[in-house]
Amino acid sequence: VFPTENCLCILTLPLRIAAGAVRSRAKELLETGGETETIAGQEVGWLVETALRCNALDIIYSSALTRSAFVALLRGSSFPRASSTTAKGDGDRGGGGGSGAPVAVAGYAVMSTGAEMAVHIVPRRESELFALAVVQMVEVGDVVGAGMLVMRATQTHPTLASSPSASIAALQAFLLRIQSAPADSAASGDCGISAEVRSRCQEALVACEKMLAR
Amino acid sequence: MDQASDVERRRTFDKVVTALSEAGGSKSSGAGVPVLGCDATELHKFVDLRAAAAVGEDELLLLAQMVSFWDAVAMPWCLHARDDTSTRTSASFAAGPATEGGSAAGGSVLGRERSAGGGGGDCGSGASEVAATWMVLLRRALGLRLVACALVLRSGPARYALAPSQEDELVEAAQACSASTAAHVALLSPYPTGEF
Repeated sequence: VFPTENCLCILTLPLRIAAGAVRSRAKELLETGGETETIAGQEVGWLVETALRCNALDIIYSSALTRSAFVALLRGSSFPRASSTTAKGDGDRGGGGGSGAPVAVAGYAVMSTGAEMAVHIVPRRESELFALAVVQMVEVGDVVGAGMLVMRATQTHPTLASSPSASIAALQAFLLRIQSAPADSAASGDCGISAEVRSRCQEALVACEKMLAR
Repeated sequence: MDQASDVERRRTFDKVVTALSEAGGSKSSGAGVPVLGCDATELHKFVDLRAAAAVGEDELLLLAQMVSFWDAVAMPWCLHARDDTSTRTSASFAAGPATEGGSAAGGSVLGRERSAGGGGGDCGSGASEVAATWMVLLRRALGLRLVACALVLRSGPARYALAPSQEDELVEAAQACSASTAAHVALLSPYPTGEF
C-alpha cells in the first residue's frame, strides 16, 4: 500500500496562498478547532471541494478531517471514469427537494476576472477534484509532487512510485489522457471533467513540458 | 450537518407561511402555497408567480426565508430567478435550475456590484432587493444550525453580496456552529483569483 504520509507530505509543500484577509482565517480556524470536531463526511467532503476549487490546497492540511477526506478522494481514482460511476456521482449531488431529501449543494457562484465581471455557476463535481489537485501542484511548480499524487491515486507500487522520473512520466500520461479524451464526451461531462478544468490540464501539460525542458 | 428536525422545520415553515398570508402574499399568488416537500418545479413556479407580482420588501424577505428553509437545493436557483425577474419586471421568466444558471446569475446576484459606492450588502437605492436579505438569511440559517442551507447560500447567490465588515461578522457567527463551518465560510470569501 502506498504510504499515506507521502501524500500528506505533498500537501506541506508551499502552495498558492488564498487571497484575502477573510480567506486566510480559514486555515487558522481549521488548525485551532478542526481537529476536535466530529462532523459528517458529506460536509467535510464539501469543504475539501471548496478548498480545491478556491486553489487553497494548503487549507486541507490544516485539519485531520480534511486530510483524511482528501486522501479518501485519491483512493482508486482513474480517468476517465466509467460513465455509470459519473452518473451516480452527479445524481448524488442533484437530489431533489423537500425536507426529507438529503441536503446537497447546487454549485458555486464564480465571478469572471474580465472587464465584464459576469457571474457563472460552477456545479459541484467530485470527479474532477483529483485533476484539480494535480493541476494546482503543477501550477506552483511541483511537477514531481503532482506526479506522486497521480501514482498515489493510481495505486502504483511503492518501489516504482519512489522514482521521480516515473512520477513525471505518470503525470504526463495523466494530463495527456485528459487532453486526448473525445471532445464530445468532455463537453457532456461523460469523462467527469468540465471544459474549464480540462483547459487547465492542457495548460499544466504545457507548463510541465517547459519546466522539464530547462 | 443540518441539526433541525423535520418537526422544527415544519414549525418554522408554518410561521413563515402564516406571516406571508397575513401580508397578503399567498392569497393572490394564483397557485396557492405549495406543500412542504413538494417537487422543486412546483416551488419554482410558486416563486416565479410571486416574483411577477409587485411584492413589498417585507414579503420579499419572507419569501426568501420560506424558500431557504424549505429546499436548500432549489433555494439558490429560485432566488437567482426571483432577483433577475424583479430586475427585468418580466412575468415570463422561465424557471428551471438546470438551464437558467448562467443567465439568471448574470450580475443579478451581485449586491456589491449594484450598490453605489461599494456599499456591498448595504444595498443602496440601485441595489438588488434580494441582496439586502442575504445577511439576514445567512445569520438566521446559522442560528438555526441549518449549516448546509447557510453554505448553499454562501457558495451561491450570497457569495458576492456582502460588505467586508459583514464577511467578518459572518465568520464570527459561523464559529458558533463549528470551526470547520467558519473555515468554509471564510474560504468562500469573494474575489480570490484564478480559482475554479
